[in-house]
Amino acid sequence: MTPAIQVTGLGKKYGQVHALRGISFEVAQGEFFGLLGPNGAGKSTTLNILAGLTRPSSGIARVMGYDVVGEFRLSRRNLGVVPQEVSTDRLMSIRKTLQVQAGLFGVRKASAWIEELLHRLYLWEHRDKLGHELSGGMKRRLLVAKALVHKPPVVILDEPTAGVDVELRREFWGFIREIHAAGTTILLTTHYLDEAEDGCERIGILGQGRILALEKTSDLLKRHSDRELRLRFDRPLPQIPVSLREFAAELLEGGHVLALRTKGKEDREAFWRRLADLGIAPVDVEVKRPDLEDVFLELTRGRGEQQGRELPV
Amino acid sequence: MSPLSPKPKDRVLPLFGFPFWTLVRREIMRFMIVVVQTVVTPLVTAGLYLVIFVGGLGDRLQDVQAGVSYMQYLVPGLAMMGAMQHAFNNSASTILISKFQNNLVDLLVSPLTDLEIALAYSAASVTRGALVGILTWAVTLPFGGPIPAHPFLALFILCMSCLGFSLLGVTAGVFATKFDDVARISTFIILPFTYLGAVFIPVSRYPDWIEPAAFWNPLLYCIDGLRLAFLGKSEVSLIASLSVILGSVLLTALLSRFAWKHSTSIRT
Repeated sequence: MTPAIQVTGLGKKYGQVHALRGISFEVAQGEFFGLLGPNGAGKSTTLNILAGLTRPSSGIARVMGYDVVGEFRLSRRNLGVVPQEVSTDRLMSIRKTLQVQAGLFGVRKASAWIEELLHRLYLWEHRDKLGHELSGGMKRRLLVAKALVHKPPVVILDEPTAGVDVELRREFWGFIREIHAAGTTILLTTHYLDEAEDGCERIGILGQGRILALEKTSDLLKRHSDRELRLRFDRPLPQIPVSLREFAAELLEGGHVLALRTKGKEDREAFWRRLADLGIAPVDVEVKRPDLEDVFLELTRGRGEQQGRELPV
Repeated sequence: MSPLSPKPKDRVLPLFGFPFWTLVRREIMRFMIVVVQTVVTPLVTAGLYLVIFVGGLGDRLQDVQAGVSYMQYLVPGLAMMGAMQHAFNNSASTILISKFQNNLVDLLVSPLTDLEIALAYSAASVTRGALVGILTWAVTLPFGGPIPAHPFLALFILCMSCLGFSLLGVTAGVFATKFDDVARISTFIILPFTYLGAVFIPVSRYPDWIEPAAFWNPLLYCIDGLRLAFLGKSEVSLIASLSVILGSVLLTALLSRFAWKHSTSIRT
């Protein structure tokens, strides 16, 4: 089956600055894919190239098999974009805005679908309000409705919940999960890593215009098997035992808690052996598995440290 | 199939089809929402010009063109002046406002080609310009305004002149980063060229040192071309007028194409 999104050797230069350094990835039809990375990693550049807002310097990007440069009239008909920045037409009502947006994508009879969208995005009661009368949350929901008004098979969400309150975020993700379940491919960028972890089946992490990781979310989390341990003792430890210092251990709460980090299974086994040799036993053990944020920081921080050495494209 | 199911598209929409006309309608609706500002205000301005020039100076300017009253001489000039200025302002300000409001992105992610977008903006601007021109003329009818000798030619010259200015407005809107940029073109280029384009008095009445240069002013051919269509005579020939107008349309079309293609304020 044709991939929903296919990016091959995509590069973008702004003067001497490389925003993208020949990245490649694919997103299958019906997949929920997350593209993460720190500011300036190249996420928005990638999305903008797919949407037609930015011209690539090299490489190819396709949406539903259509080249975003050579066949843009088809690639754009198959794509809906929820942009990062909120914008509305100040003098047009919500309903008129959606009718016009449908027309721009060649949809003549959109009334029923527009009505459905307005209901599902809780905009029905505000349908006749003008752009300048809308609250921030309504504008955000309108952006989603505009992106979906032509029923595109692929939807790009560029940090869609930035600055959005908890209630609206929950409603928003509920609706996005519904359209995903109905077959829409989702490409998400976000700084809320818990959202990516919850929703995305696969994740690509960008840094310095390169792909640092590209795998299933569960594999990505498994691969990084660090654990944070917090051991509580009923009698405080006077100091960190010498044999445990290599685990980056520190004493907290007046010596009652020993916090440390182990890297992998063997490391953990070694730790437990040494603790047993010391003859001290904790009354409580708390283990924290890595979440996407830890993985993200590990990958991107590592990349940042190598920054000085990394120049070739 | 769920009502939420997407619909993949595998057919290219025809050029200048439904999306193009949707954009034209949207842009016309945009200026009609604020019709007092976009259409009525220029009528008031034109009315004031008529009162001052015809009422105040008309007696001294009766012989500007043989066989026609000053009122009849002035009306085509005023109609074209308003039409050109508003055609330019419409394109330029709409694009600039869309850039400020961040809603230009709606068009840029749509399947419309850059040519369709530029021409849709221009079509709406031509509509506004022509509306201003026609209404300026129409309100003078009860006061002795001229009946056009060649109405279709008048309409053609009016619309083509507006097209040239609306395309120039597209270029200005694309490159402008603030309203001041558009105002500069309007104030320092269009306005002087309009006033020196025989709106109020014929070129033959200009000071001797300006007269030869006046014939290099392309706006003269728009204004006097319309006057020719209205009165059957003017200082420039029909061939010269049509050649300059159509040549200007071609030139401004190329300029706007260059602007859409190369401006980083549109696509980076």
